[in-house]
Amino acid sequence: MGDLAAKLQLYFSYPFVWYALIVGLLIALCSSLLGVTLVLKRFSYIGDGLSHVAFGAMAVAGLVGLTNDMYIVLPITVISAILLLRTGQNAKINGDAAIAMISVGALAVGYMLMNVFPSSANVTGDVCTTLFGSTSILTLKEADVIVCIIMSVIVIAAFLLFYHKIFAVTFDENFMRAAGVKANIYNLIIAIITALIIVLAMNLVGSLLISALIIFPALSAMRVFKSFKSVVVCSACVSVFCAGVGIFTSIMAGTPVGSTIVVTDILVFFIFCIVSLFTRRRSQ
Amino acid sequence: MRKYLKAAVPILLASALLCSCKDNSAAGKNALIDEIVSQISAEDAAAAMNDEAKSVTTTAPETTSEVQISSELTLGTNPPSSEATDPVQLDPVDMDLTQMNATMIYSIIYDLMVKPNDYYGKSLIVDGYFDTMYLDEFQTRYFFVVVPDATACCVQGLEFKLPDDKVYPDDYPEPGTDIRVRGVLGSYEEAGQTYAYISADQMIVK
Repeated sequence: MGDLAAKLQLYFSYPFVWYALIVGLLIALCSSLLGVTLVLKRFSYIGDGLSHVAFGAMAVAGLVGLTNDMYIVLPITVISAILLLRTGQNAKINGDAAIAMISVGALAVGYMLMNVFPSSANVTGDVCTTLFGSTSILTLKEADVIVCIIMSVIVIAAFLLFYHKIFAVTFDENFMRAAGVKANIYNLIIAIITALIIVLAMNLVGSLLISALIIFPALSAMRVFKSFKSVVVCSACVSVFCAGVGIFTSIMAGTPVGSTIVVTDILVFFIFCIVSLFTRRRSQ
Repeated sequence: MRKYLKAAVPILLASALLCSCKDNSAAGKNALIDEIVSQISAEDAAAAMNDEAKSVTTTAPETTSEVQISSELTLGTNPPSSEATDPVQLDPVDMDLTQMNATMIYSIIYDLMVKPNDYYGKSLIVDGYFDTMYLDEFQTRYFFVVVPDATACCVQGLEFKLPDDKVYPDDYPEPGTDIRVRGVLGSYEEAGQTYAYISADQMIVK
């Protein structure tokens, strides 16, 4: 136990470990807030789709030779998010088909560009880092942490400010429109926030595992709680807890950060499933 | 008030989009090391060894450290069982990376490459595999201790330089050999860039 504490103390003497913890917890919190809405709107897979778009955009940025790929990645991801979420049910190709099309299309184009026009000699490493996060979260700088804090504050503030509207647009968009509220504006805000979170979360778990951050906490909370508010609060708590445990475990055991967080999310989901079985029996 | 706040949110979101563009210049520098390491595997190492063994002289820049470590080199053979040859036992170092897991080692080396100023003058000991490359442009041979990350898809190559009297290839192992390097972190300028390296006084073939 003493060795473990000493090791923990040693690891936390490095600033980048603190940065990873702060950014990891903030991303987990933000993704869980929006996760409930996305799951309820049947957009669970949008995280996956948009992250693949971001992957493709990264390849394009590499091809163009930009030192800062975010100038391309963020706008493309945001535009894709808006297209996917705003078109809604009126589009010719809607819902899961649109997401699947954009997802696999961007992934294929991105991978092809990375191989045909490699920006570094280690293409395999680049692809692996982007898809699985690798140790990106442990390689953040102060500037990244500050940006993440600012964006997290904006996301949380937007969620709290528009809580009732997001609630309405989540459950009954048509009723909202009939009541004279411009649902499109709130869909746009949700789309921008979703894109921001996904680009941020790519550092944490990589583009293949982002969906887990969005859906698992929400689904876990839905096993036990029934109201929107309680599900959101529980989802946020579960997400932050899992991210914290995942990062600690990863640092101490040397496991990959992203997959460790996701495995923790899965374990918590099963625990909540078991808890829900007991609570249902009691209520019956 | 609430109305103004609602109007401000989309503006703030747009600002956040612009601000979130992070600087990847350090990653680019890091990519150079990755590239160097990757190029090595493509080289015909054996041919290069014979060509350059006579002409290359490794220049070991002055270390900025005040830490004194015994100048002992153990090569080509496994370290004797005697504890005296274990660098950890010889003298405590500031950073003993051999006691850390793959994730932390990879992250520390990345941090070291990105923010070398924070680490200059510190003594360290690190395990990895040996690799080398020769750049015609600078007429210099570079030596690396290469450390993979936990997912094993990414590697960080940390350059090291042994004392001048060590000649390549006689005093160095084959590329891919597991090694342990002990030394002090320093830096040198090349082509307008500052690079971190280990001014190594000990390299052990594991």
